[in-house]
Amino acid sequence: MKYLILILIIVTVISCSLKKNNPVDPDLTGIETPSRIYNIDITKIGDSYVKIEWDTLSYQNGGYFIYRSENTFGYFLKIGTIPSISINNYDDIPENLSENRYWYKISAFKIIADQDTLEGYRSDAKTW
Amino acid sequence: MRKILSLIILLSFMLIYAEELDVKKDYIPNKYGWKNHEEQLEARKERDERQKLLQIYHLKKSSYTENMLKSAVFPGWGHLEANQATKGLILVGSEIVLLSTSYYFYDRSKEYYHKYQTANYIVDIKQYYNDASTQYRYSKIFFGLALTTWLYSIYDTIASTNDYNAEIWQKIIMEKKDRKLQVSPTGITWRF
Repeated sequence: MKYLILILIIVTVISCSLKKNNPVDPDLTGIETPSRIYNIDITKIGDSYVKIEWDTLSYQNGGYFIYRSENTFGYFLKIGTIPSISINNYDDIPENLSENRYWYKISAFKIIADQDTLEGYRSDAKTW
Repeated sequence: MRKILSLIILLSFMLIYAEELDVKKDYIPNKYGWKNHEEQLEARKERDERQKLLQIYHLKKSSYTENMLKSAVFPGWGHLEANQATKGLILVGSEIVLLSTSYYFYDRSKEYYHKYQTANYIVDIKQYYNDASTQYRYSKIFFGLALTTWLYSIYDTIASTNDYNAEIWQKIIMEKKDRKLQVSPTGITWRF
């Protein structure tokens, strides 16, 4: 009797798991996660702006997110969204460019039905 | 008239052959190990006395069903009724702690699950789902332990009630023995 109760409890604990129901979850939808962005080139143009370039990806309905931080391991704020997958550059005009150094990260996203987006892995932090 | 006469004759025969009820006649020496009629009477007296004690016991004893139901409603309650306060309080405390912990993890799981449902970044989607699953598993483990404690509490109520009833019976027997020996300011009386 004791063992029966114990087995019942173990089965109850192990059997149930949380259901996945995020509409953009690749495990649920089977959508391929956007690839990581490589070959990022960041150039500081004088003290006026920063030019960021990268290798484009080749799929439809997507774009890129640009992130910026004042530290390599700090919080990266989303500063721009590029709504086309074929565009491969972005110009950033941060404040006090002459005094500070900025780090950037880029990620690609796909647009899923109902305007939901699935963002892929962000690139490593890069600076000029 | 003939019928009445036949009935009278039949009754007369019955009265002639009818014997007086004799208890001694029913006395079977080897059946219960009595050596004489006095021992049989003594045994009968003892039996009557035990029946009286049993009546007292039935009034004082604790019910298994009632205690099990109490433990089912609130773990440990049955033990409290069976005079096992420490065990009862430990069971109540354990049940409260386990259920609270289970709820705490369940609440955290819900929080992470909500974040997972609204996440768009692949790292967040994976991380929040894993966090929600981990918290949910902890919640279920503690719930399982609470369930075990609850079932154990019901199961153990039987043994506790049994002990309590045995104790009651012993107490009644002891009280009976004590009644025979009475110590008073005037002296010691031994009742046979």
